[in-house]
Amino acid sequence: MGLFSRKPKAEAAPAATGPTPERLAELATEIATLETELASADAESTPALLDRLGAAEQERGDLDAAIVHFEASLQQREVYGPAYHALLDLYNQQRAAAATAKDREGLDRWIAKIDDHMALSKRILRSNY
Amino acid sequence: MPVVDWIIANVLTQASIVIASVALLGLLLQRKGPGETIIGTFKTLLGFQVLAAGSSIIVGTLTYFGVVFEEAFGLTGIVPSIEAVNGFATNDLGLGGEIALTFLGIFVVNILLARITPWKYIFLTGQAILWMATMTVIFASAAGLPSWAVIVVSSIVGGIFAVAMPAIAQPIVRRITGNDSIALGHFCTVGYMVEAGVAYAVRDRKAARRGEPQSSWEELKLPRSLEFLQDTYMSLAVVMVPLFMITAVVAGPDAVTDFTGDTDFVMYAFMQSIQFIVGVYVLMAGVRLMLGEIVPAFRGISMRLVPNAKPALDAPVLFPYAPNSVIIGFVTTTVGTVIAMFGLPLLGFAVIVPGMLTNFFAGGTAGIFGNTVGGRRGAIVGGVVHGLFITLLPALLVTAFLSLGFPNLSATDSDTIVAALFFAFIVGPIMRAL
Repeated sequence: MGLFSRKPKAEAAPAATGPTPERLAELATEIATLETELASADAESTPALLDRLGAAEQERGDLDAAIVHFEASLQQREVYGPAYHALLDLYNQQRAAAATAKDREGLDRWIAKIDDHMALSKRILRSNY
Repeated sequence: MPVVDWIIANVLTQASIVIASVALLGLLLQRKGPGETIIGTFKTLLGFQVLAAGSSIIVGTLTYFGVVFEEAFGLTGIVPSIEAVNGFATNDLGLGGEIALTFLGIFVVNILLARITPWKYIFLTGQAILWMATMTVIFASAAGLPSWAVIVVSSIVGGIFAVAMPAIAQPIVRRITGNDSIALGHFCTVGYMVEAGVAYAVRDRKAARRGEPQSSWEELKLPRSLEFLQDTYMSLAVVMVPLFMITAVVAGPDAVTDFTGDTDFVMYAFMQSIQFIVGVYVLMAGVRLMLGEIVPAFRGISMRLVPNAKPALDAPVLFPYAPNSVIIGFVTTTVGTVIAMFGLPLLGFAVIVPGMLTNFFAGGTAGIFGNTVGGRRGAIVGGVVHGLFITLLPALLVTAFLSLGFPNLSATDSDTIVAALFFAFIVGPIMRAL
Protein backbone atom coordinates (compact mmCIF):
# COMPACT_ATOMS: atom_id res chain seq x y z
CA MET A 1 0.00 0.00 0.00
CA GLY A 2 1.40 3.44 -0.94
CA LEU A 3 1.91 6.34 1.47
CA PHE A 4 -1.35 7.85 0.33
CA SER A 5 -3.97 5.20 -0.24
CA ARG A 6 -6.43 6.15 -2.92
CA LYS A 7 -9.82 7.15 -1.62
CA PRO A 8 -12.21 4.30 -2.46
CA LYS A 9 -14.36 5.25 -5.40
CA ALA A 10 -17.89 5.97 -4.35
CA GLU A 11 -19.83 3.02 -5.66
CA ALA A 12 -23.44 3.40 -6.58
CA ALA A 13 -25.01 3.12 -3.17
CA PRO A 14 -27.54 0.33 -2.93
CA ALA A 15 -30.98 1.43 -1.83
CA ALA A 16 -31.05 1.60 1.96
CA THR A 17 -33.11 -1.37 3.06
CA GLY A 18 -32.45 -1.74 6.78
CA PRO A 19 -32.97 -5.03 8.61
CA THR A 20 -35.49 -7.46 7.14
CA PRO A 21 -38.67 -8.15 9.17
CA GLU A 22 -37.20 -11.51 10.13
CA ARG A 23 -34.01 -9.88 11.38
CA LEU A 24 -36.01 -7.25 13.27
CA ALA A 25 -37.88 -10.03 15.04
CA GLU A 26 -34.59 -11.72 15.91
CA LEU A 27 -33.22 -8.43 17.24
CA ALA A 28 -36.32 -7.87 19.36
CA THR A 29 -35.91 -11.32 20.91
CA GLU A 30 -32.19 -10.75 21.43
CA ILE A 31 -32.81 -7.40 23.11
CA ALA A 32 -35.45 -8.87 25.43
CA THR A 33 -33.08 -11.70 26.39
CA LEU A 34 -30.19 -9.32 27.03
CA GLU A 35 -32.36 -7.06 29.17
CA THR A 36 -33.36 -10.04 31.30
CA GLU A 37 -29.71 -11.07 31.70
CA LEU A 38 -28.77 -7.49 32.52
CA ALA A 39 -31.22 -7.34 35.40
CA SER A 40 -29.33 -10.09 37.24
CA ALA A 41 -25.82 -9.49 35.93
CA ASP A 42 -22.84 -8.79 38.19
CA ALA A 43 -20.62 -5.72 37.82
CA GLU A 44 -18.03 -7.60 35.76
CA SER A 45 -20.37 -8.82 33.05
CA THR A 46 -22.64 -5.74 32.86
CA PRO A 47 -20.48 -3.66 30.45
CA ALA A 48 -20.26 -6.48 27.89
CA LEU A 49 -24.05 -7.00 28.07
CA LEU A 50 -24.61 -3.27 27.62
CA ASP A 51 -22.30 -3.32 24.58
CA ARG A 52 -24.32 -6.14 23.02
CA LEU A 53 -27.56 -4.32 23.78
CA GLY A 54 -26.20 -1.16 22.22
CA ALA A 55 -25.08 -3.01 19.10
CA ALA A 56 -28.51 -4.67 18.76
CA GLU A 57 -30.34 -1.36 19.14
CA GLN A 58 -27.98 0.23 16.63
CA GLU A 59 -28.69 -2.49 14.10
CA ARG A 60 -32.41 -2.13 14.77
CA GLY A 61 -32.11 1.58 13.99
CA ASP A 62 -32.89 2.97 17.46
CA LEU A 63 -29.79 5.15 17.73
CA ASP A 64 -30.91 6.98 20.88
CA ALA A 65 -31.38 3.69 22.75
CA ALA A 66 -28.02 2.45 21.44
CA ILE A 67 -26.34 5.61 22.75
CA VAL A 68 -27.91 5.15 26.19
CA HIS A 69 -26.59 1.58 26.47
CA PHE A 70 -23.11 2.38 25.18
CA GLU A 71 -22.83 5.40 27.51
CA ALA A 72 -23.87 3.21 30.45
CA SER A 73 -21.22 0.68 29.48
CA LEU A 74 -18.51 3.34 29.33
CA GLN A 75 -19.60 4.76 32.63
CA GLN A 76 -19.05 1.35 34.24
CA ARG A 77 -15.76 0.67 32.48
CA GLU A 78 -13.79 3.42 30.79
CA VAL A 79 -11.73 1.60 28.15
CA TYR A 80 -11.15 1.81 24.44
CA GLY A 81 -13.59 -0.80 23.25
CA PRO A 82 -16.81 -1.39 21.31
CA ALA A 83 -18.72 1.21 23.35
CA TYR A 84 -16.13 3.92 22.81
CA HIS A 85 -15.86 3.39 19.06
CA ALA A 86 -19.59 2.98 18.57
CA LEU A 87 -20.37 6.18 20.48
CA LEU A 88 -18.00 8.28 18.37
CA ASP A 89 -19.69 6.96 15.25
CA LEU A 90 -23.20 7.48 16.68
CA TYR A 91 -22.48 11.00 17.95
CA ASN A 92 -21.13 11.90 14.51
CA GLN A 93 -24.20 10.46 12.78
CA GLN A 94 -26.52 12.39 15.10
CA ARG A 95 -24.45 15.55 14.57
CA ALA A 96 -24.72 15.18 10.80
CA ALA A 97 -28.47 14.59 11.05
CA ALA A 98 -28.89 17.69 13.23
CA ALA A 99 -26.80 19.76 10.80
CA THR A 100 -28.89 18.61 7.84
CA ALA A 101 -32.11 19.36 9.73
CA LYS A 102 -30.73 22.78 10.78
CA ASP A 103 -31.44 21.72 14.38
CA ARG A 104 -29.36 24.31 16.26
CA GLU A 105 -29.79 22.85 19.74
CA GLY A 106 -29.28 19.30 18.55
CA LEU A 107 -26.10 20.28 16.76
CA ASP A 108 -24.72 22.00 19.87
CA ARG A 109 -25.62 18.97 21.98
CA TRP A 110 -23.90 16.43 19.72
CA ILE A 111 -20.79 18.58 19.20
CA ALA A 112 -20.55 18.92 23.01
CA LYS A 113 -20.86 15.12 23.29
CA ILE A 114 -18.01 14.71 20.81
CA ASP A 115 -15.93 17.18 22.87
CA ASP A 116 -16.56 15.11 26.02
CA HIS A 117 -15.60 12.00 24.07
CA MET A 118 -12.24 13.57 23.18
CA ALA A 119 -11.65 14.38 26.84
CA LEU A 120 -12.55 10.78 27.72
CA SER A 121 -10.03 9.55 25.15
CA LYS A 122 -7.26 11.49 26.91
CA ARG A 123 -8.41 10.23 30.30
CA ILE A 124 -8.45 6.58 29.21
CA LEU A 125 -4.97 6.84 27.68
CA ARG A 126 -3.55 8.45 30.80
CA SER A 127 -5.16 5.96 33.15
CA ASN A 128 -3.96 2.94 31.19
CA TYR A 129 -0.32 3.96 30.78
CA MET B 1 -18.18 63.34 16.83
CA PRO B 2 -16.52 63.25 20.28
CA VAL B 3 -18.54 60.27 21.55
CA VAL B 4 -17.69 58.14 18.53
CA ASP B 5 -14.06 59.23 18.70
CA TRP B 6 -13.98 58.38 22.40
CA ILE B 7 -15.43 54.91 21.71
CA ILE B 8 -12.92 54.25 18.94
CA ALA B 9 -9.96 55.48 20.99
CA ASN B 10 -10.86 53.93 24.34
CA VAL B 11 -13.17 50.97 23.77
CA LEU B 12 -12.41 49.42 20.39
CA THR B 13 -8.68 49.52 21.03
CA GLN B 14 -9.19 47.27 24.06
CA ALA B 15 -8.53 43.70 22.90
CA SER B 16 -10.71 42.28 25.66
CA ILE B 17 -13.66 44.34 24.40
CA VAL B 18 -13.05 43.19 20.83
CA ILE B 19 -13.01 39.53 21.75
CA ALA B 20 -16.03 39.92 24.01
CA SER B 21 -17.80 41.51 21.05
CA VAL B 22 -16.95 38.48 18.93
CA ALA B 23 -18.52 36.28 21.62
CA LEU B 24 -21.57 38.58 21.74
CA LEU B 25 -21.97 38.25 17.97
CA GLY B 26 -21.77 34.47 18.21
CA LEU B 27 -24.32 34.33 21.03
CA LEU B 28 -26.72 36.63 19.16
CA LEU B 29 -26.38 34.54 15.98
CA GLN B 30 -27.19 31.48 18.06
CA ARG B 31 -30.32 33.33 19.30
CA LYS B 32 -29.44 32.76 22.95
CA GLY B 33 -31.62 34.47 25.58
CA PRO B 34 -30.59 37.81 27.13
CA GLY B 35 -29.30 36.20 30.33
CA GLU B 36 -27.13 33.66 28.51
CA THR B 37 -25.85 36.35 26.14
CA ILE B 38 -24.81 38.69 28.95
CA ILE B 39 -23.19 35.89 30.99
CA GLY B 40 -21.38 34.47 27.96
CA THR B 41 -20.06 37.86 26.89
CA PHE B 42 -18.91 38.66 30.43
CA LYS B 43 -17.18 35.27 30.79
CA THR B 44 -15.26 35.90 27.58
CA LEU B 45 -14.16 39.31 28.83
CA LEU B 46 -13.13 37.76 32.14
CA GLY B 47 -11.29 34.93 30.40
CA PHE B 48 -9.22 37.40 28.42
CA GLN B 49 -8.12 39.19 31.59
CA VAL B 50 -7.25 35.88 33.25
CA LEU B 51 -5.17 34.98 30.19
CA ALA B 52 -3.37 38.33 30.46
CA ALA B 53 -2.62 37.67 34.13
CA GLY B 54 -1.14 34.26 33.31
CA SER B 55 0.96 35.79 30.56
CA SER B 56 2.43 38.34 32.96
CA ILE B 57 3.53 35.57 35.32
CA ILE B 58 5.15 33.59 32.49
CA VAL B 59 6.98 36.63 31.07
CA GLY B 60 8.47 37.36 34.51
CA THR B 61 9.86 33.84 34.91
CA LEU B 62 11.18 33.65 31.36
CA THR B 63 12.95 36.98 31.72
CA TYR B 64 14.84 35.48 34.66
CA PHE B 65 15.39 32.21 32.76
CA GLY B 66 16.88 33.99 29.75
CA VAL B 67 19.46 35.79 31.89
CA VAL B 68 20.48 32.77 33.97
CA PHE B 69 20.70 30.44 30.93
CA GLU B 70 22.90 32.90 29.07
CA GLU B 71 25.16 33.21 32.13
CA ALA B 72 25.34 29.45 32.62
CA PHE B 73 25.93 28.23 29.08
CA GLY B 74 26.63 31.28 26.93
CA LEU B 75 23.66 30.27 24.80
CA THR B 76 20.10 31.43 24.28
CA GLY B 77 17.66 29.08 25.96
CA ILE B 78 14.20 29.01 24.40
CA VAL B 79 11.03 27.59 25.93
CA PRO B 80 8.56 26.58 23.22
CA SER B 81 5.07 27.51 24.41
CA ILE B 82 2.42 28.64 21.96
CA GLU B 83 0.21 29.52 24.91
CA ALA B 84 2.80 31.93 26.28
CA VAL B 85 3.38 33.34 22.77
CA ASN B 86 -0.34 34.11 22.58
CA GLY B 87 -0.28 35.71 26.01
CA PHE B 88 2.69 37.94 25.19
CA ALA B 89 1.31 38.93 21.77
CA THR B 90 -2.03 39.82 23.33
CA ASN B 91 -0.75 41.51 26.48
CA ASP B 92 2.51 43.14 25.51
CA LEU B 93 2.41 43.61 21.74
CA GLY B 94 -1.18 44.85 21.73
CA LEU B 95 -2.25 42.39 19.03
CA GLY B 96 -5.20 40.98 20.98
CA GLY B 97 -7.82 42.72 18.85
CA GLU B 98 -6.30 41.53 15.57
CA ILE B 99 -5.96 38.00 16.96
CA ALA B 100 -9.62 37.98 18.04
CA LEU B 101 -10.86 39.19 14.65
CA THR B 102 -8.57 36.78 12.79
CA PHE B 103 -9.91 33.96 14.97
CA LEU B 104 -13.39 34.83 13.67
CA GLY B 105 -12.05 35.32 10.15
CA ILE B 106 -10.53 31.83 10.04
CA PHE B 107 -13.96 30.33 10.80
CA VAL B 108 -15.48 32.42 7.99
CA VAL B 109 -12.83 31.45 5.43
CA ASN B 110 -13.08 27.80 6.52
CA ILE B 111 -16.84 27.85 5.87
CA LEU B 112 -16.40 29.52 2.47
CA LEU B 113 -13.74 27.05 1.33
CA ALA B 114 -15.74 24.07 2.60
CA ARG B 115 -18.76 25.28 0.65
CA ILE B 116 -17.06 26.01 -2.66
CA THR B 117 -14.22 23.45 -2.83
CA PRO B 118 -14.21 19.63 -2.71
CA TRP B 119 -12.40 19.89 0.66
CA LYS B 120 -15.42 19.66 2.90
CA TYR B 121 -13.83 19.90 6.33
CA ILE B 122 -14.86 22.09 9.25
CA PHE B 123 -12.05 22.58 11.75
CA LEU B 124 -13.59 22.16 15.19
CA THR B 125 -10.55 22.45 17.50
CA GLY B 126 -11.02 25.95 18.88
CA GLN B 127 -7.70 26.29 20.70
CA ALA B 128 -5.76 25.29 17.59
CA ILE B 129 -7.52 28.03 15.61
CA LEU B 130 -6.55 30.53 18.33
CA TRP B 131 -2.89 29.49 18.04
CA MET B 132 -3.01 29.76 14.23
CA ALA B 133 -4.59 33.22 14.53
CA THR B 134 -1.84 34.19 16.98
CA MET B 135 1.08 33.15 14.80
CA THR B 136 -0.31 34.53 11.54
CA VAL B 137 -1.14 37.89 13.15
CA ILE B 138 2.28 38.22 14.83
CA PHE B 139 4.20 37.55 11.66
CA ALA B 140 1.84 39.36 9.32
CA SER B 141 2.23 42.37 11.57
CA ALA B 142 6.02 41.95 11.67
CA ALA B 143 6.04 41.70 7.85
CA GLY B 144 4.75 45.26 7.71
CA LEU B 145 1.13 44.77 6.73
CA PRO B 146 -1.34 47.41 7.97
CA SER B 147 -3.78 46.31 10.67
CA TRP B 148 -6.76 45.66 8.37
CA ALA B 149 -4.56 43.64 5.99
CA VAL B 150 -3.12 41.65 8.91
CA ILE B 151 -6.63 40.51 9.78
CA VAL B 152 -7.70 39.76 6.20
CA VAL B 153 -4.55 37.99 5.04
CA SER B 154 -4.13 36.06 8.30
CA SER B 155 -7.75 34.90 8.10
CA ILE B 156 -7.25 33.68 4.54
CA VAL B 157 -4.00 31.88 5.35
CA GLY B 158 -5.45 30.38 8.54
CA GLY B 159 -8.65 29.35 6.77
CA ILE B 160 -6.67 27.61 4.02
CA PHE B 161 -4.71 25.70 6.64
CA ALA B 162 -7.97 24.78 8.41
CA VAL B 163 -9.15 23.04 5.26
CA ALA B 164 -5.91 21.88 3.70
CA MET B 165 -4.33 20.22 6.74
CA PRO B 166 -7.24 17.84 7.41
CA ALA B 167 -7.38 17.11 3.67
CA ILE B 168 -3.66 16.30 3.50
CA ALA B 169 -3.83 13.98 6.50
CA GLN B 170 -7.10 12.30 5.47
CA PRO B 171 -5.65 9.44 3.34
CA ILE B 172 -3.71 8.23 6.39
CA VAL B 173 -6.51 9.07 8.87
CA ARG B 174 -8.77 6.82 6.75
CA ARG B 175 -6.28 3.96 7.18
CA ILE B 176 -6.10 4.61 10.93
CA THR B 177 -9.85 4.79 11.59
CA GLY B 178 -11.09 2.49 8.86
CA ASN B 179 -13.69 5.01 7.73
CA ASP B 180 -14.01 8.41 6.12
CA SER B 181 -16.49 10.08 8.45
CA ILE B 182 -14.11 12.06 10.67
CA ALA B 183 -10.96 14.05 10.00
CA LEU B 184 -8.04 15.32 12.07
CA GLY B 185 -8.13 18.95 13.21
CA HIS B 186 -4.75 19.51 14.83
CA PHE B 187 -2.25 22.06 13.55
CA CYS B 188 0.73 19.73 13.75
CA THR B 189 -0.10 17.96 10.48
CA VAL B 190 3.11 18.95 8.71
CA GLY B 191 5.03 17.09 11.43
CA TYR B 192 2.73 14.07 11.12
CA MET B 193 3.34 13.88 7.39
CA VAL B 194 7.10 14.15 7.95
CA GLU B 195 6.92 11.15 10.29
CA ALA B 196 4.68 9.30 7.84
CA GLY B 197 7.13 9.97 5.01
CA VAL B 198 10.08 8.69 7.04
CA ALA B 199 8.06 5.67 8.18
CA TYR B 200 7.18 4.89 4.58
CA ALA B 201 10.85 5.05 3.63
CA VAL B 202 11.90 2.60 6.36
CA ARG B 203 8.90 0.26 6.15
CA ASP B 204 9.27 -3.49 5.76
CA ARG B 205 9.38 -3.60 1.97
CA LYS B 206 9.25 -7.39 1.77
CA ALA B 207 5.98 -7.43 3.69
CA ALA B 208 4.67 -4.59 1.54
CA ARG B 209 5.53 -6.49 -1.67
CA ARG B 210 3.73 -9.58 -0.35
CA GLY B 211 0.71 -7.41 0.39
CA GLU B 212 0.98 -8.17 4.10
CA PRO B 213 0.31 -5.54 6.78
CA GLN B 214 3.27 -3.93 8.54
CA SER B 215 4.13 -5.06 12.07
CA SER B 216 2.31 -2.97 14.63
CA TRP B 217 2.96 -1.75 18.16
CA GLU B 218 -0.66 -2.57 18.91
CA GLU B 219 0.24 -6.28 18.79
CA LEU B 220 2.39 -5.85 21.92
CA LYS B 221 1.66 -5.03 25.56
CA LEU B 222 3.52 -2.03 26.94
CA PRO B 223 4.37 -1.66 30.65
CA ARG B 224 2.69 0.97 32.79
CA SER B 225 5.56 3.30 33.53
CA LEU B 226 4.56 6.80 32.54
CA GLU B 227 2.10 7.67 35.27
CA PHE B 228 3.34 11.25 35.46
CA LEU B 229 1.53 11.78 32.17
CA GLN B 230 -1.69 11.58 34.14
CA ASP B 231 -1.34 15.24 35.00
CA THR B 232 -0.60 17.99 32.47
CA TYR B 233 1.20 20.20 34.98
CA MET B 234 3.33 17.37 36.36
CA SER B 235 4.49 16.82 32.77
CA LEU B 236 5.62 20.46 32.70
CA ALA B 237 7.26 20.20 36.12
CA VAL B 238 9.33 17.17 35.08
CA VAL B 239 11.15 19.39 32.57
CA MET B 240 11.03 22.91 33.99
CA VAL B 241 12.05 22.27 37.62
CA PRO B 242 15.31 20.42 36.83
CA LEU B 243 16.01 22.78 33.93
CA PHE B 244 15.71 25.92 36.05
CA MET B 245 17.64 24.48 39.00
CA ILE B 246 20.50 22.94 37.01
CA THR B 247 20.86 26.16 35.03
CA ALA B 248 21.00 28.18 38.26
CA VAL B 249 23.63 25.89 39.79
CA VAL B 250 25.82 26.15 36.68
CA ALA B 251 25.39 29.93 36.48
CA GLY B 252 26.19 30.44 40.16
CA PRO B 253 24.73 32.91 42.67
CA ASP B 254 26.45 36.04 41.38
CA ALA B 255 24.81 35.85 37.96
CA VAL B 256 21.29 36.68 39.16
CA THR B 257 21.59 38.79 42.31
CA ASP B 258 19.39 41.42 40.64
CA PHE B 259 16.57 38.88 40.70
CA THR B 260 17.18 36.88 43.88
CA GLY B 261 17.88 39.57 46.46
CA ASP B 262 18.36 37.76 49.80
CA THR B 263 16.77 34.49 48.63
CA ASP B 264 19.05 31.52 48.06
CA PHE B 265 19.69 31.32 44.30
CA VAL B 266 18.76 27.62 43.98
CA MET B 267 15.55 28.10 45.95
CA TYR B 268 14.78 31.13 43.80
CA ALA B 269 15.27 29.03 40.66
CA PHE B 270 12.94 26.35 42.04
CA MET B 271 10.25 28.92 42.83
CA GLN B 272 10.60 30.50 39.39
CA SER B 273 10.06 27.12 37.73
CA ILE B 274 6.92 26.65 39.82
CA GLN B 275 5.83 30.17 38.89
CA PHE B 276 6.18 29.25 35.22
CA ILE B 277 3.85 26.30 35.69
CA VAL B 278 1.43 28.50 37.64
CA GLY B 279 1.53 31.02 34.80
CA VAL B 280 0.67 28.32 32.25
CA TYR B 281 -2.15 27.07 34.50
CA VAL B 282 -3.64 30.55 34.85
CA LEU B 283 -3.21 31.34 31.17
CA MET B 284 -4.89 28.09 30.09
CA ALA B 285 -7.75 28.70 32.52
CA GLY B 286 -8.21 32.07 30.83
CA VAL B 287 -8.10 30.50 27.35
CA ARG B 288 -10.75 27.93 28.31
CA LEU B 289 -12.99 30.60 29.83
CA MET B 290 -12.51 32.89 26.85
CA LEU B 291 -13.15 30.23 24.21
CA GLY B 292 -15.91 28.53 26.15
CA GLU B 293 -18.56 30.74 24.60
CA ILE B 294 -17.02 31.67 21.26
CA VAL B 295 -16.05 28.24 19.98
CA PRO B 296 -19.43 26.46 20.46
CA ALA B 297 -21.18 29.38 18.78
CA PHE B 298 -19.11 29.44 15.64
CA ARG B 299 -18.67 25.68 15.39
CA GLY B 300 -22.42 25.25 15.39
CA ILE B 301 -22.83 27.94 12.73
CA SER B 302 -20.08 26.36 10.61
CA MET B 303 -21.63 22.90 10.71
CA ARG B 304 -25.10 24.26 9.89
CA LEU B 305 -23.82 26.18 6.87
CA VAL B 306 -21.91 23.14 5.52
CA PRO B 307 -23.98 20.17 6.77
CA ASN B 308 -22.19 17.59 4.62
CA ALA B 309 -18.73 18.60 5.89
CA LYS B 310 -16.56 16.24 7.87
CA PRO B 311 -15.70 17.46 11.38
CA ALA B 312 -11.95 17.86 11.85
CA LEU B 313 -11.44 16.85 15.48
CA ASP B 314 -8.65 17.21 18.03
CA ALA B 315 -5.75 14.75 18.15
CA PRO B 316 -7.18 12.48 20.89
CA VAL B 317 -9.79 11.30 18.35
CA LEU B 318 -7.09 8.96 16.95
CA PHE B 319 -5.73 7.71 20.30
CA PRO B 320 -8.19 4.82 20.69
CA TYR B 321 -7.14 3.31 17.36
CA ALA B 322 -3.50 2.88 18.38
CA PRO B 323 -2.85 3.67 22.07
CA ASN B 324 0.51 1.87 22.19
CA SER B 325 1.68 3.92 19.22
CA VAL B 326 0.83 7.09 21.14
CA ILE B 327 3.27 6.10 23.88
CA ILE B 328 5.96 5.01 21.40
CA GLY B 329 5.45 8.27 19.52
CA PHE B 330 5.79 10.30 22.72
CA VAL B 331 8.99 8.52 23.78
CA THR B 332 10.68 8.62 20.37
CA THR B 333 9.68 12.24 19.74
CA THR B 334 11.14 13.14 23.14
CA VAL B 335 14.39 11.38 22.18
CA GLY B 336 14.46 13.43 18.99
CA THR B 337 13.82 16.70 20.83
CA VAL B 338 16.59 15.97 23.35
CA ILE B 339 19.05 15.17 20.55
CA ALA B 340 18.05 18.42 18.83
CA MET B 341 18.36 20.39 22.08
CA PHE B 342 22.05 19.49 22.25
CA GLY B 343 22.71 19.25 18.50
CA LEU B 344 21.13 22.42 17.12
CA PRO B 345 23.41 24.80 19.09
CA LEU B 346 26.36 23.16 17.33
CA LEU B 347 24.85 24.49 14.11
CA GLY B 348 24.42 27.97 15.52
CA PHE B 349 20.81 27.69 16.66
CA ALA B 350 19.48 28.44 20.13
CA VAL B 351 18.84 25.73 22.70
CA ILE B 352 15.20 24.67 22.35
CA VAL B 353 13.89 23.09 25.54
CA PRO B 354 11.71 20.01 24.88
CA GLY B 355 8.02 20.76 25.35
CA MET B 356 6.53 17.71 27.05
CA LEU B 357 2.91 18.56 26.24
CA THR B 358 3.76 18.88 22.56
CA ASN B 359 5.83 15.71 22.72
CA PHE B 360 2.84 13.87 24.16
CA PHE B 361 0.01 15.14 21.96
CA ALA B 362 1.84 15.85 18.71
CA GLY B 363 4.45 13.13 19.23
CA GLY B 364 1.80 10.62 20.22
CA THR B 365 -0.37 11.37 17.20
CA ALA B 366 2.66 11.28 14.93
CA GLY B 367 3.46 7.86 16.40
CA ILE B 368 0.07 6.62 15.19
CA PHE B 369 0.89 7.89 11.69
CA GLY B 370 4.32 6.25 11.79
CA ASN B 371 2.98 2.91 13.03
CA THR B 372 0.19 2.87 10.44
CA VAL B 373 2.47 3.59 7.48
CA GLY B 374 5.72 1.91 8.50
CA GLY B 375 4.96 -0.49 11.33
CA ARG B 376 7.13 -0.69 14.46
CA ARG B 377 10.28 0.44 12.66
CA GLY B 378 8.43 3.34 11.08
CA ALA B 379 7.09 4.52 14.43
CA ILE B 380 10.55 4.50 16.04
CA VAL B 381 12.65 6.03 13.25
CA GLY B 382 9.85 8.37 12.23
CA GLY B 383 9.35 9.45 15.84
CA VAL B 384 12.98 10.45 16.35
CA VAL B 385 12.98 12.38 13.06
CA HIS B 386 9.67 14.00 14.10
CA GLY B 387 11.32 15.15 17.33
CA LEU B 388 14.22 16.65 15.40
CA PHE B 389 11.81 18.36 12.99
CA ILE B 390 9.55 19.91 15.61
CA THR B 391 12.60 21.32 17.38
CA LEU B 392 14.18 22.70 14.22
CA LEU B 393 11.02 24.61 13.22
CA PRO B 394 10.80 26.78 16.35
CA ALA B 395 14.58 27.28 16.17
CA LEU B 396 14.10 28.91 12.76
CA LEU B 397 11.84 31.52 14.33
CA VAL B 398 13.92 32.36 17.40
CA THR B 399 15.68 35.36 15.88
CA ALA B 400 12.39 36.78 14.66
CA PHE B 401 10.72 36.25 18.04
CA LEU B 402 13.61 37.86 19.95
CA SER B 403 13.63 40.86 17.60
CA LEU B 404 9.91 41.35 18.32
CA GLY B 405 10.62 41.43 22.04
CA PHE B 406 9.48 37.94 23.04
CA PRO B 407 11.27 36.75 26.21
CA ASN B 408 13.00 33.48 25.30
CA LEU B 409 9.90 32.02 23.71
CA SER B 410 9.10 30.19 20.54
CA ALA B 411 6.09 28.38 19.16
CA THR B 412 5.31 24.68 19.03
CA ASP B 413 2.66 23.52 16.56
CA SER B 414 4.34 22.83 13.23
CA ASP B 415 1.55 24.11 10.97
CA THR B 416 1.41 27.46 12.78
CA ILE B 417 5.18 27.80 12.39
CA VAL B 418 4.94 27.03 8.66
CA ALA B 419 2.29 29.75 8.35
CA ALA B 420 4.59 32.15 10.24
CA LEU B 421 7.51 31.24 7.98
CA PHE B 422 5.31 32.08 4.98
CA PHE B 423 4.92 35.62 6.31
CA ALA B 424 8.54 35.90 7.45
CA PHE B 425 10.18 34.68 4.24
CA ILE B 426 7.66 35.50 1.49
CA VAL B 427 5.30 38.27 2.55
CA GLY B 428 7.93 40.18 4.53
CA PRO B 429 10.49 40.48 1.70
CA ILE B 430 7.69 41.47 -0.71
CA MET B 431 6.53 44.23 1.64
CA ARG B 432 10.09 45.47 2.11
CA ALA B 433 10.63 45.53 -1.65
CA LEU B 434 7.47 47.62 -2.25
